[in-house]
Amino acid sequence: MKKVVSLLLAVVLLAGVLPVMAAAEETSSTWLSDELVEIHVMREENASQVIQSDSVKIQYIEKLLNIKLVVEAVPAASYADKKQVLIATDNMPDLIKVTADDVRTYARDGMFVCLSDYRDQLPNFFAAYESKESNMMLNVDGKCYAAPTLRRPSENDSRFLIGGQLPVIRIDLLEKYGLEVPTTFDELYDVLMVFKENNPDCIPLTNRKGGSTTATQKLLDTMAYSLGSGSTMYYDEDLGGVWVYGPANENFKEVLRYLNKLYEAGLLDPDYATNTVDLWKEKMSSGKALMYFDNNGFASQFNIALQTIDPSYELQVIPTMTNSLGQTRNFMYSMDWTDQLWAIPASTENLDVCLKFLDWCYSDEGADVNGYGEPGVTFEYVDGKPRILESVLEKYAASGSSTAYYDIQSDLGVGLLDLAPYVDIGCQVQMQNYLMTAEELEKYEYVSALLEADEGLRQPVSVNPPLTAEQTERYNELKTAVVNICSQEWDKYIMGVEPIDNYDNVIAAAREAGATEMEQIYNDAWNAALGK
Amino acid sequence: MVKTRSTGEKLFNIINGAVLFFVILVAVYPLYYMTIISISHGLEVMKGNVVWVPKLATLDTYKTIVKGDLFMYMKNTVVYTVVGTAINLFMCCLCAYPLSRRTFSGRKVFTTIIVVTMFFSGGMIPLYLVINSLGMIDTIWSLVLPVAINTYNMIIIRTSFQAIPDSLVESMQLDGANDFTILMRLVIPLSKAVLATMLLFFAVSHWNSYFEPMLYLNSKSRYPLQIMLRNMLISGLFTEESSVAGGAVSFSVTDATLRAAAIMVTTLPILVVYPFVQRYFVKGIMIGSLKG
Amino acid sequence: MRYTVKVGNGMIGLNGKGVTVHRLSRKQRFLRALNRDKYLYLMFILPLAYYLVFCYLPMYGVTLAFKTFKPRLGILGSPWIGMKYINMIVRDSYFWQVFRNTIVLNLLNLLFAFPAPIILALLLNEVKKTGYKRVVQTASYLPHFLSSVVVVGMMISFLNSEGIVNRMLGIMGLGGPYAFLTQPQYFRPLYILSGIWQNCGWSSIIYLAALSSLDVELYEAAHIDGANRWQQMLHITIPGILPTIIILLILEMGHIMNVSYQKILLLMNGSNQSVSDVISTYVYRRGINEADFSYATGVGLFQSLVSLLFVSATNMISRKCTDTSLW
Repeated sequence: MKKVVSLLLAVVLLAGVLPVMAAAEETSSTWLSDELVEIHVMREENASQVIQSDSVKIQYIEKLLNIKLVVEAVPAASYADKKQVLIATDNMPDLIKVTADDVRTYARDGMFVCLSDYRDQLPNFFAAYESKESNMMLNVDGKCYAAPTLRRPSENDSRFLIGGQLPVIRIDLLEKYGLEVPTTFDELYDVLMVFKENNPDCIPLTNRKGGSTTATQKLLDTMAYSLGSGSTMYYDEDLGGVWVYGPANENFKEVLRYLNKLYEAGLLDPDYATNTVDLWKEKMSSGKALMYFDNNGFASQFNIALQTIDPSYELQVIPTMTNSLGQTRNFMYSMDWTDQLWAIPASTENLDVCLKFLDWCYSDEGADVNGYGEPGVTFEYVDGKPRILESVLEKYAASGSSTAYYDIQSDLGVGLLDLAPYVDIGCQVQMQNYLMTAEELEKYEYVSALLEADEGLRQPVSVNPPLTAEQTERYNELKTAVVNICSQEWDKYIMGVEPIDNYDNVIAAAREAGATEMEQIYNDAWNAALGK
Repeated sequence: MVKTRSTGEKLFNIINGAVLFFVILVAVYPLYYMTIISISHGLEVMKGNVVWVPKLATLDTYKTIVKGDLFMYMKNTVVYTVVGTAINLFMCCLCAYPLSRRTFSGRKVFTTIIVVTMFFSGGMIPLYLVINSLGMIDTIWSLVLPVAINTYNMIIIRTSFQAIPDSLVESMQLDGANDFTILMRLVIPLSKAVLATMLLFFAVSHWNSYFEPMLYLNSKSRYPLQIMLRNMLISGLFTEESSVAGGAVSFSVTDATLRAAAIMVTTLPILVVYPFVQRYFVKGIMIGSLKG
Repeated sequence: MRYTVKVGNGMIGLNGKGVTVHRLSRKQRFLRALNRDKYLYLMFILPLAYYLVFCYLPMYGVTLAFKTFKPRLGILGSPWIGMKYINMIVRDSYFWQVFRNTIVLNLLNLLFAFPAPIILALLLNEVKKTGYKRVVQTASYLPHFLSSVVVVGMMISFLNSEGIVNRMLGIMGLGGPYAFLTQPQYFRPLYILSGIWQNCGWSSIIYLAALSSLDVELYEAAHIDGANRWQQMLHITIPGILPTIIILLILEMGHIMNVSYQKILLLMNGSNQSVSDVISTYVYRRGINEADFSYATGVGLFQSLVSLLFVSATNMISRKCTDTSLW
């Protein structure tokens, strides 16, 4: 009897212990290191989404990977300064967010770990990185030194969500005056004329200042490509696949010609050269201005304000229009964020763990965690796709906050504005969709379909060709001089102080100051990188 | 004392009063404007309806600022300001007094050493390295020690110390006082107005300081208030990576209202402190001079 | 009784009978001075340590202007490149344009914005009612706390073609909308005036402090002698605060090359760039393109040398003409 009892006890004990043993194995098998390692990450913090030190994601990563993530968030406005000083004094944290220029400047000095040397430890990363040929342009001397922020392919790749600097117009007025949606810029001119005749006090087309650029530059940044040229150094397929400095080219005259036409007819904001962001928002949301060429995401904000004045007011994006050269073209925002890269400094003490962590971020599991939080707690898998739990969405919807979709991302520690090298913006999209009424959802789908059908929209070439150190120095020197010459002239032509044909003199001056050499440098480097 | 006022004087008084009244209007309106924006509804502000009075007043903006770690940042700022200002005053007085004594043998040499630093500086990188090697990164010391002496202000203090008549100093020396005693008992009490001004300048400088904390501090728990506020102030300008199609929520809090509230939070404490400093600007602090 | 009187390099001893002259050696003089000033030297130890550690120690960074910076090697280890960057700066014709703009703005500042706080302080001083005086004083420094972002935002709102200023000018029949913000001739006045508005009140505080330390009895004596307010101001007040004014003027000269880039960047556009672009904005724009420390250090060195020149000149003039000087 005793033997049976003791045997039974043994079985029971074993049964109790085995699951624990199995569980212990399970946990430690996902750990990236046996001991808790602190990984310091530095990135900028956008005021819209506060990066929390104990977000759901950070706690879950500690459990899952045995890594304590310490995110050093620097205010976005000063991030460049601090980053420069830390790189220059070699005091970087384990993972630092840098730009492509930083990589090119410092990689050759050995400041960053060469990721290509650790290929076998970074399978997930290289799979994602090499899936797009254009990423190869980020290499320095043929090797990869930093990991760009990439978008994980998902259902959230709709053009509407990616967005761009698109024409947005008061669609209710088109209906009111019985006008068709303009398909060419000339038709747009006529439409705006009708607007102006019926509302003499209004400003048909307005613009704003850029973050660090003048309002005129921003106007050109948004419209020059559509109108047939470009506002800076850009890649033009229609000219045969070359890099071109827009303002030093013949086609730029068409851009100026059109803008001048609008200005003289009173259709372009007379203060276009000095508009601030606040003034622009004021004009759009008070109903004074009727159209803008800029990020289409703002339209919904303005609509809310406009509808407090009159519920029928509505801004909506329209498809790309054809320009005087017969081209129908516009850029969307880039799918990936190739100017936001994650680098590991060569002086780090946790190289092994850092590499593993970086690679994990590019795995599907990593993208899920960095995009949605903790499985089972904040999200679940539906048909193999991650979905935020309804209870969580409800909690943030009920808070009535005007930035619910940022609040949820802040608390969860997810999204583009947090640490997410392989980004899935699903959380933000799901939150926003949850907040929409059925009517709004319908509208959203309609506009989405509109953009999908738009053939003129294309992806820009968002990576500059890789230059050597001497090329970079020479290019920058030339660029400063050329831009100085051109930027002081544009307003004269747009405002009609000088006749458009005189712009040939500016083109000549720019060419002499080095625009041709600038284009040469870029094209040579581009072709060299492509192996031509 | 009988004061006879000529018409000229009366006219002057009226004009003076009017000019200064204009100064008040022009100076106060912008801050008033910030106040009403910070308590107005974001949409009304965006539409440009808020000019003279607040519209659809709401405290949501302040609630947004207060949520989170406001009190921790505020506490940090207060500590940095108090410690920093104390160190500033202490060091500047110690530095200014010897330089103000005309008979000080080291005067020329030391003044030259100091003035040279006003023009030539090594820049951010070497300074960062020095601070790093002293182990001060991410501590309060990186914020108060490298700025312990502001040469500009120190020279103003020195000028004020110089204005104290030598006769007073000598009479104390004859009584057997050493320089420390003279500094504490005579010079500082007689320079109250200037020192009060300097206290204000130093305190405001620490209160508003943003760049040094951003650069030298790494842990969020040590950040002062200005970092959060300044981020709000500038963030509205970087609207490139903007949100995707928005949902139906009311925008009672926007960039513009946050910006205004940030300015209010920065300015109000100074307004509170200033009256205490102002009472030192009363005429006739100079204790009766030696006569005969 | 024995008296000793220090005269020149020696001591004259009067010991009741005759005169003994002792000549002291350099070393003895030095030690005597050290002893006499021992507390002053003691006092100065901490400040001296501060300057040595935080100002002189990092000063080797200035050499960056002559080196190509390699972060791995640090500043000391980076290779010398000689005058390359200095040449780049000096040969750049556009640099001289922004140099000129910087100096012009600062000279205009000295002409108009420097006297403004002094005048404000003097006006305030004449106000008898302390209550009113306090209110004006407090109000006047408020604009100092508005950041340039806000100030320029307001300026642009007011000065737009549809802003208040143009509307009022239209009502008064003074002509069509003026392009204050784009035409170059308006830039400098706008910059100076907005600067005065922003800083006049705050800068007047130091003058008020100086005014409050003037002896009341001097005023009473002058009043008894029959001087009116204007004469009192001319002969008592202004000479009284003159040392403060002069020192501040010399210090301002030290800022002759510094114009902060923030406000200019917000006001600058393609049309007024020819007068609004200054050294700091030019360097800032270059900084966006590349992390060029050497160039920025070179420009900083250049700025320092020019400031030193101006300050030395002003200091020398001031030393000859008045009692006050920086050194």
